[in-house]
Amino acid sequence: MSMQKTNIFENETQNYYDILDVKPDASQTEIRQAYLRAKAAYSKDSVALYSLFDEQETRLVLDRIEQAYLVLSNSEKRREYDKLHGLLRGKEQTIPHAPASMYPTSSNHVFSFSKSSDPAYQAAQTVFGEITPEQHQQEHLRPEHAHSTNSSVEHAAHDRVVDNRVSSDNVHTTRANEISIRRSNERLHVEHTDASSSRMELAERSNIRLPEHKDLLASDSELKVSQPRSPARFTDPFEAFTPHHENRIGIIRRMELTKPYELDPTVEEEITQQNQFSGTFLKKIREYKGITLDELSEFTKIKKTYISCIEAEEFESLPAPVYLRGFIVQLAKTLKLPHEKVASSYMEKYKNAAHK
Amino acid sequence: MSSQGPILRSIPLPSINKPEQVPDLHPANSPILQPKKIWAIGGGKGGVGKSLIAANLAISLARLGHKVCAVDLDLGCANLHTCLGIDIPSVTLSDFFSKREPHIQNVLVPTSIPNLTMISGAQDAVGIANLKHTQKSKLLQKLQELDVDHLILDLGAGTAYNTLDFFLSAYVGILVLLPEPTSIENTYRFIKSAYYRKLKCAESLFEIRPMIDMAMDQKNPLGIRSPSDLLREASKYSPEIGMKLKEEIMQFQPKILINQARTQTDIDIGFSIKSVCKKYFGIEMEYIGYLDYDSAVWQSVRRKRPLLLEFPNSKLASNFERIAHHLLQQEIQEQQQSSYNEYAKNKHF
Repeated sequence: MSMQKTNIFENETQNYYDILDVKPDASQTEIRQAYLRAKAAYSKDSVALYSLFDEQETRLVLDRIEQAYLVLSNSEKRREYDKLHGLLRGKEQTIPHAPASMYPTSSNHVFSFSKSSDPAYQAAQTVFGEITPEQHQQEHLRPEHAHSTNSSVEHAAHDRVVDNRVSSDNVHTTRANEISIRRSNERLHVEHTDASSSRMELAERSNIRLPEHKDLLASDSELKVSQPRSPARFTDPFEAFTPHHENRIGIIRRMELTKPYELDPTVEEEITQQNQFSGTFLKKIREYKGITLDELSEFTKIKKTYISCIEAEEFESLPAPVYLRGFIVQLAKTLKLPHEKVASSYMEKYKNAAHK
Repeated sequence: MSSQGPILRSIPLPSINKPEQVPDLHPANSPILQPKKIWAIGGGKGGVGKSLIAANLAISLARLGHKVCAVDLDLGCANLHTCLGIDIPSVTLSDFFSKREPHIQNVLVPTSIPNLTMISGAQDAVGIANLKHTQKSKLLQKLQELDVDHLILDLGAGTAYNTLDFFLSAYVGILVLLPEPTSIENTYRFIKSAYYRKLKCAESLFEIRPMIDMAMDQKNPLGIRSPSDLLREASKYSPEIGMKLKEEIMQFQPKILINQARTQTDIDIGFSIKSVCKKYFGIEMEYIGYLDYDSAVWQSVRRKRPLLLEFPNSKLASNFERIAHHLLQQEIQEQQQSSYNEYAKNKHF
């Protein structure tokens, strides 16, 4: 059976982007979503194929989808493919409705980096060869890179190794990036000039609505991130066209709770030395960091009464251990304490009290 | 999608945060929205909810301040009036066709909803479903003369030429389907029939009309089994005709609406159908949304009351309102675009 039968305009303009039904400037996340959607449409048990495509035709379409994804999901292969087909990806990429000066294009940013005299980049290039713009983007996407302006040679080299490992499977790369964005408690420091590119890429990948120019000027350095959603949830057709689309993207929350406080070396030392984390100690750290009960409760979404009971070690008023452990981990993360250590030592205390 | 909140409003939705981004959908405040846009609700299979959707979309539009007329074009088995909570009307399209009522305005039936009127399909006239071509043209022409902003056509099941022609004459053609193989199969048959009917009626494709006729028969001697075969044969005949055929194909853009969605998989079927149709027919369909399965439907049907009036706070009511909003906004945008194009053309940009 000929392939012509499976696509009416097959002979004319079919490239890999057409096969996955995405634009040539689509982000990796978009490509992955399109791939999952196409796979679902042509899967063996897809009811949408009923009476139009037979099994053999479906297999051919699926093969082409796989082939397209194999290339487009790999940044290196995709770049070569684009070059070969004259697709100028990335050059015209700008954020809609944003002044050009405000958001440098990703390519601008990448090139300004690569041609700059950044010693870390040059050293990494010497050791590992050229870093591609996509790989560079991936590096920038990670929260720890968002504020690593003085990265050392070792740091860059290490990341290059990590990149090599994960880029062998771009599915995992994308997921890893998504997860790192969602779960990180690291501060995503946004500077209007330096990190705006990484901010843009971050927004692109995690489907965040970037604030307008005026919002950005007014906002402080906190980054607004939409609530994580699984790729499957992007399929709600209503979300695409609701009049209040911007408000419906998700609950907007801050990535971390940080207030300015006076550094006290003795307390900092105590935190690093501490092995037994009691409620009193948690309270002490909270107060040291100038965070009120209300703020902590608002941020972590844990009831204020539970937080006070945790701090006062009123174990009988606390919920089941499985929930309690979750609360402790969350509180510890918010207070920037080693959460595993805090949770295990607190739970130890809880168990001992229960046995008495 | 949100599943709660008071849904029905008789006025346009208040814009919550960005008033400048939400266009006022009231016709009086949107001078660019030209009158008489036809929305046809069709789909190959019977019992998928065409009449119910037609009735409730009409109510949604009327509540947004548009003058709406719902027309029951399921001529043999008309029951749109029941979905709108009206008793069997005394005047129907039968009276219009038999010339007892020479003016279409006289067969308009008022409803309890402000801004909404309806024209009932024929009740008892045997053979009325088989309209002659002249009757069909006259009806479409007269409907255009009605003093309304929107016409909602409730089409019958099946792929009769009348149904296809009414569907193709509409500004917006909505295909209703259930996430079930039977419904999907019939929807594809409907799309295929409407597709070939459109191509056959296209003046620019006059030369290859016999070829299109042949393509409609699966066992044709040319071996044309699918639209891509037709395109190939047409291009072989003449590359210019091939281009024209492609243009005609791209103009056919029905919209799909999934009814009785129970799970996320049901909702996703809409995307799959869109993708499959693009590959098979080469058409760009739009998936305009889905309606949740809701027992409010059968309850309202049994009470012979419109769903939106009987269960204004149901999830379905919000689904309807969103779809109406979406289609209206699209209309406004298209209108703006065409006005701009015209302006640019006149100014020789």
